[in-house]
Amino acid sequence: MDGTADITNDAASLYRFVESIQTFCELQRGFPAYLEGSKVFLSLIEELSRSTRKYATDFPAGLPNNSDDYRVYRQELRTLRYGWYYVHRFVKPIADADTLHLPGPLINSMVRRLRSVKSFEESKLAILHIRELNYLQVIASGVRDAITQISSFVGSPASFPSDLGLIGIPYSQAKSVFLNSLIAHEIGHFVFEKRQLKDVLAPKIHAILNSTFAPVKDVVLKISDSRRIPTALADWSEELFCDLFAVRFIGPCYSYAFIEIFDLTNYLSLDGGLDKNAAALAVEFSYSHPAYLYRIQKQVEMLKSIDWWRHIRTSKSTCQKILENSESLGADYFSFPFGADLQKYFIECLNQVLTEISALIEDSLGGLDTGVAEYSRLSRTVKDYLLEGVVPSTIRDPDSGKRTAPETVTVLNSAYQLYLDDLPELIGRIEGQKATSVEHRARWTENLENWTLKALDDLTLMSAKTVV
Amino acid sequence: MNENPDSRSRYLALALASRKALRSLSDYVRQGTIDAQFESMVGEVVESLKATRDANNLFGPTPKESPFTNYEQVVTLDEVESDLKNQNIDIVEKLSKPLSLHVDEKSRRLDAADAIRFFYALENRALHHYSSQIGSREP
Repeated sequence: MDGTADITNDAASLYRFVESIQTFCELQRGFPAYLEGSKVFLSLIEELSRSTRKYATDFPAGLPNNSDDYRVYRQELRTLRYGWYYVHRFVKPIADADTLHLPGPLINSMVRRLRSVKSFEESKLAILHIRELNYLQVIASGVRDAITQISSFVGSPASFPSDLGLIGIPYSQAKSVFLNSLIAHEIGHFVFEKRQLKDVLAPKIHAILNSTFAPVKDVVLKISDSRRIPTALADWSEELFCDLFAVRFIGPCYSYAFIEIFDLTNYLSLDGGLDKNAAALAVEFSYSHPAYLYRIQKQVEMLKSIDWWRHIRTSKSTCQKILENSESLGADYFSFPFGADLQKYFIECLNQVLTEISALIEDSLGGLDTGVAEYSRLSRTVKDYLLEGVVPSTIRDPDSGKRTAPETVTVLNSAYQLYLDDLPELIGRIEGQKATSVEHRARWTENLENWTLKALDDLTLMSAKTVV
Repeated sequence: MNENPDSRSRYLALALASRKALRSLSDYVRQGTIDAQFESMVGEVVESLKATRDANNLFGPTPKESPFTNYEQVVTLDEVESDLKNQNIDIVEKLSKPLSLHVDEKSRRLDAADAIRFFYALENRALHHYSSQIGSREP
């Protein structure tokens, strides 16, 4: 065979594939508009595409003339192609997520809060639209590694900025505020990655596993399990970090959104208790994620430890009931994908890892104000404004009587709490509207979210650090 | 092996890291240079493979940022190690020895041959696992 001709064809195939992706990255002047992070990402891919096409053009000229070297050389093309397949997943979803199709004010508010943390002052987020209605399984960290490696192979001057995070949101949720509180979890992944907390946790997880399982090492551990357990525990740890980070970062609205997206209130029985039959699968850990109700239970512990709990415990909402019910679940209630006889050892491991995680969250946030004190002072007033249909960008402080601008955490949590507890009161003030009507509830929830979004937008404009 | 949504990116990370090693080995063969990143990467591979053999370590390697430490990556490393063992190549022993600074390319090529074979097979297998997941049906 003529190796040169064949490899030219293969190189041309990669060239065309990369070129087809590049067309989605070419930013038109002014329209559509993108978040700063999305613009950075699309420009990066455009540059990477250019370099890859140059690489593909030059590739046939480097063809070795002995068979051993040939197959090693040729395989690089396949690796690059697969690298680009991976990048391909992100480009169109980011190009689709322009500012008209995003809850921009909410994202900007969260970025503004993140930027107030030391080492995160320059943070930017690129947002991508995903098909699944799930924020929690978007794995974007791998793309950083893939892009970095592809750049080095093709000699691209572009590099993935360390302060750029990628976050996926469902394509349909541009207007949603409450559900998009889940973005805080994804910010947790960004923080986890940027601070290289996997490397920080690894030796601790290693020590915890070996000491906890030492008494049973020859009795119950299968070899196949023992290989898988460290990765499972590391993955659970990262997810728990992100959950608890999110609660610490924006408060209970994250837990409410978590409960809503997974529809966990389905596990409540008529008397408001937990229907343990219905919830049987919600206490099972998978290889990659902790059980839903375990995650909620740990969020409750965080809410208590940072003093949020006393401000929300009187809520009569079903979300609150899930929080309370999960709190009372015993450790032996949870199950793991490695056999029932190992259950107590995993619980022991997780207890120890959670201590480390809590410390890492505090260390990562460097004393960032929880926002509880301001919420305690201003939430009633914010709710009163919203009940009157007034955007609470600036409100009158009930203590001082002066006009003040509430922080993101106060606005988000007050609005969410109103949605859960007081929506009938809001609807009752509107002529011809009934709280018992699903349609009316949906409409007034949307209005409430719009007012909240407007307040967050105003707060961003008023701040010194405008993100868009 | 498909349960974890992270699996795909882990296989790709393994393939990309293997390619990086192959590039370094190519530079070594052609120019006689050995870069520090390659030595560090080989150290991570050896550490990972040794951890799975260590009788005092119940669980093998613990996941780090390194692309040789997650479950999918460790299993793939094992698969390639076993294949080479069947060809009477002890890859841990081979990789544990540093590359020598031979003056002639032929000697360097011989010195690097097993490492090239290993990283080539590792890249190939990681790409295979990655592509298997591309072909799988989505629910």
